[in-house]
Amino acid sequence: MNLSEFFGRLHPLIVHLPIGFLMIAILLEFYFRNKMSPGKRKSIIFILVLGAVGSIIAALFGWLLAEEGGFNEDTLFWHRWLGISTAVIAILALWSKYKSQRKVYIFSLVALSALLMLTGHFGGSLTHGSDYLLQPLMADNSSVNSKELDKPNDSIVVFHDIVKPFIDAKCISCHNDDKQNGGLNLSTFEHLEIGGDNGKILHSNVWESEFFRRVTLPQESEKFMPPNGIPLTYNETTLLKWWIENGAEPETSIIDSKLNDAVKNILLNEYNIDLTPKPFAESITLQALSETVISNLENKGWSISVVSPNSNLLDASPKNGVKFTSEMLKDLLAAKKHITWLKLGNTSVNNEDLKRISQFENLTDLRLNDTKITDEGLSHISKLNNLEALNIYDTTISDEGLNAIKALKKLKRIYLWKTKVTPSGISELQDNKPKLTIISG
Amino acid sequence: MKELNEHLLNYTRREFLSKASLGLGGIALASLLNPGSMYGSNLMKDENGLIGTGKAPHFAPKAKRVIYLFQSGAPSQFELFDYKPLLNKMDGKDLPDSVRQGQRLTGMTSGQRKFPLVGSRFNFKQHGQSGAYVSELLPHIGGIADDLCFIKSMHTEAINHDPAVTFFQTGSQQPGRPSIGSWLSYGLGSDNENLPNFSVMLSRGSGLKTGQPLYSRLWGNGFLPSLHQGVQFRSAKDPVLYLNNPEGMSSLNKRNLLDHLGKLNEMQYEAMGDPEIATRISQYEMSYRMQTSVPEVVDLSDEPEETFELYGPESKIPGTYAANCVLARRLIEKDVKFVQLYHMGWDQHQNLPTAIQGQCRDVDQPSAALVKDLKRRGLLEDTLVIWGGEFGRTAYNQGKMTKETYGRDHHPRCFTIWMAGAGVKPGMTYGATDDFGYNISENPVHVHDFQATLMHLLGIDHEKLVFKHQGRRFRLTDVHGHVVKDILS
Ligand code: HEC
Repeated sequence: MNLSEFFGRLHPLIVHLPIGFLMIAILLEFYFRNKMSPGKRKSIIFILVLGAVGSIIAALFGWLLAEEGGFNEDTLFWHRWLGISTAVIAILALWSKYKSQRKVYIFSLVALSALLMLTGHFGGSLTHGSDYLLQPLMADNSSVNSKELDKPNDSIVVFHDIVKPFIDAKCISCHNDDKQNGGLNLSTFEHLEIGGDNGKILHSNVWESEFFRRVTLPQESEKFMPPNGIPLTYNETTLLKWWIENGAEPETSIIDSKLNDAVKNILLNEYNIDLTPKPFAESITLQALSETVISNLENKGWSISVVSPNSNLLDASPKNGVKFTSEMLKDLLAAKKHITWLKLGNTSVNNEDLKRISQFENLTDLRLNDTKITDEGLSHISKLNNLEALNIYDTTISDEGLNAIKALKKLKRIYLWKTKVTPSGISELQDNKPKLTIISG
Repeated sequence: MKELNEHLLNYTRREFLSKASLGLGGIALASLLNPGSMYGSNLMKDENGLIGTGKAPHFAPKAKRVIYLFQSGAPSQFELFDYKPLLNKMDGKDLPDSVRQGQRLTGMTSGQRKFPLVGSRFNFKQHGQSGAYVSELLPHIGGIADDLCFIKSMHTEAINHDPAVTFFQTGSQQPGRPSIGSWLSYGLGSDNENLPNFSVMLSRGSGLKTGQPLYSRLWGNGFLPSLHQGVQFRSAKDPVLYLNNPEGMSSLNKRNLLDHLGKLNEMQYEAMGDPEIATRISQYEMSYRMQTSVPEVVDLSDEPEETFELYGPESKIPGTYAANCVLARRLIEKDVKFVQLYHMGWDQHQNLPTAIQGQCRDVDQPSAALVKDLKRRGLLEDTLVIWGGEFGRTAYNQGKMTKETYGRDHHPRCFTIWMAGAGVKPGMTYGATDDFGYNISENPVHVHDFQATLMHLLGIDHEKLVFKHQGRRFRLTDVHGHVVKDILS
């Protein structure tokens, strides 16, 4: 049994009584200032007695509580001595009222009002943290989903942007600069790394990490964190685990961390962080092609559109009803860096044209289906380093032509239906490029 | 005059009412001068709702075109995709009250005293690497299971056909809003000026000859300018009505007529500034171009025999679902943005086992063929295919129940649809229902979520594609809808 600790913990309860009594005394004094009567005077004295006794007890209990430790020393110093001053001045007020020492009395009432406010403020900072009161006013509540981060993926730091916010929301009130329950301060990474009374709380093995263990214990457990308030959600513990497994680094960005599906889904659904690789068109930056060049091409029979509002790369195909000519392709060279999709299916495109097409370095999707191209012509496209999809169905391309394709490092899909490619040609290509999807109808 | 009229047009009705000191007389005068102003549509000059003025896409689209194979009448998920062995085990036993919990029923079964569960009379098999369950009624669709994304946890708000189809198509159970295809036409514009951006085809099912009726307002433009409305292709001699020149009129005459009419209309437009006039001019021009492009696209004589083998024998008979599927592919090849098929006859309240076999014969091979065909041509890369009805059917029997026959009532609380192609994960099953197939047990997808996802795939933020009408900004998903990100590839 530890009586002094017990009484210490009564401090937050007791402390509000003298505050109330003293406030009432001040207010009554002000209210009766011009029509004081002996009866009224007596009742004010009675209230002042209660206030003075209460503040002495509160100060005593406060002293005991401070012994427990875990509080910010600076704040505690001010709270302690302002609290004691409050008790002293309360006695002074009582004495001066009783003795009708008007000047001293007025002074002590004014001093009391100030002391009550100051002591209360420091006390609040000790229990809740110094920014507790103003935080709701400071926080930017404008966005609907406050979890959404408005920055590019590569500058999202896992600790700072993902983990820290829920620590701040759910743990910081007991583990901060002012108050360190269990000797633990979670306000910065440096403090967190140091750990608490029982040493480090991070461990390379997540299951041995006190930080993770405390939030995943059964909730009835005495050791479960937070002991009261809102527990971490399942998603939050998953993210915490992910961070610790990735080495619990303070600066690692989200794209440098190893990801699993569960984490990817949480990031996508709760934080709107999309980690699927960006399409090529959005990954390269290029000056927009001038309006005049585009409208010139349109006049020459091309249908041109941007592939995405976030990119200046273009999608080109002959306009519906326009007959494709080699001349048109020459015109299109004016946009050779910008064209990323080129659809020439069912046109008269020939081998000579393919030579020109090989200059379109940012081409990712090329459709040459239903055309007269041959194996020889196809050899030109081996220079298209960024090509991801090639459609040559309904052509006379044979196994021979596939050799050119082997050089295409980024190729993901190839359409070979209705070609002269043989099953053995296909399996050879597949062996050469195990990740390539071959659609042969 | 022009400025005055434009000003009147730009007045919403509410603004007009609040400002007009002339009272009702003033309103009457305004509508006489300018009928459009009565609709209260706020048609600004640069926001006049013409093709593509919805200013989409908002981000890189995965899909550029959509084929929506609407199975009208609501196919039973229990006989097709949602395998529930418990129903076979408990065949004939009552649905426990704890499952239904007093949820609403249609007028057709609310009088029933018992709700005997009924198991599927058709067997299920797992297909492909994904191991998706598909019933023996759909062998071809089972064969492409690895290309499909099944959503087993669809749910809707409506319990009867017309409101439910309307809800799926327009985002509202009450008629009057634009259909999905109209929204897309408004938002994304057209890639082929010679064909209707939003094409619609209907077919009757052999399961139930007298299927639920469908109305043209389901592919209507609502309050969007009328050039966004769906154009129905028919199987008859005139595939699109009123397209051909009347007898005795040569093409040259028609051209002359259109040129002169166009001039008159332009003068009128200059004077009045009414965007509906601009719509009219462009529609006349399009119908002229369609005089050659439509007969070309609907003429299947240039299709190789192999096509008809793939889509099945019915694909040679105009007006069947199979033939419509071939046509859908041809329209997509020509860059039509939204092709909507409706196949009627899925409403099997009684005699389900026989009727559903007929329906499945109609749609199984052609639906699978369409996906296969698009895939081998490389079109599935940027074409989204959707297959599904307006709601699901009940786990319990409606009407007479014997070993051979039974029926199922409407069930909006869960049903299955599938999607394939652009931007959707292939070989995936999303969401699940409980063992009775009565409630959703995992990842519910509301109709508005489906619509939001569809738009997302096309590069549209469903919250941003809006049209102001009667003083309010409307969108397809009303004020709801979340993109189902988990199914995006
Ligand atoms: C309501 C106050 C309160 C909150 C909120 C709180 N804790 Fe604690 N925490 C304590 C107290 C008191 C102790 C010391 C007693 C103990 O070890 O259980 C402690 C101890 C700990 C310790 C052990 C430190 C050591 O070295 O012994 C860890 C780790 C810890 N807390 C983590 C957390 C985390 C993580 C959260 C947020 C999810 C959190 N706490 C929220 C009060 C709190």
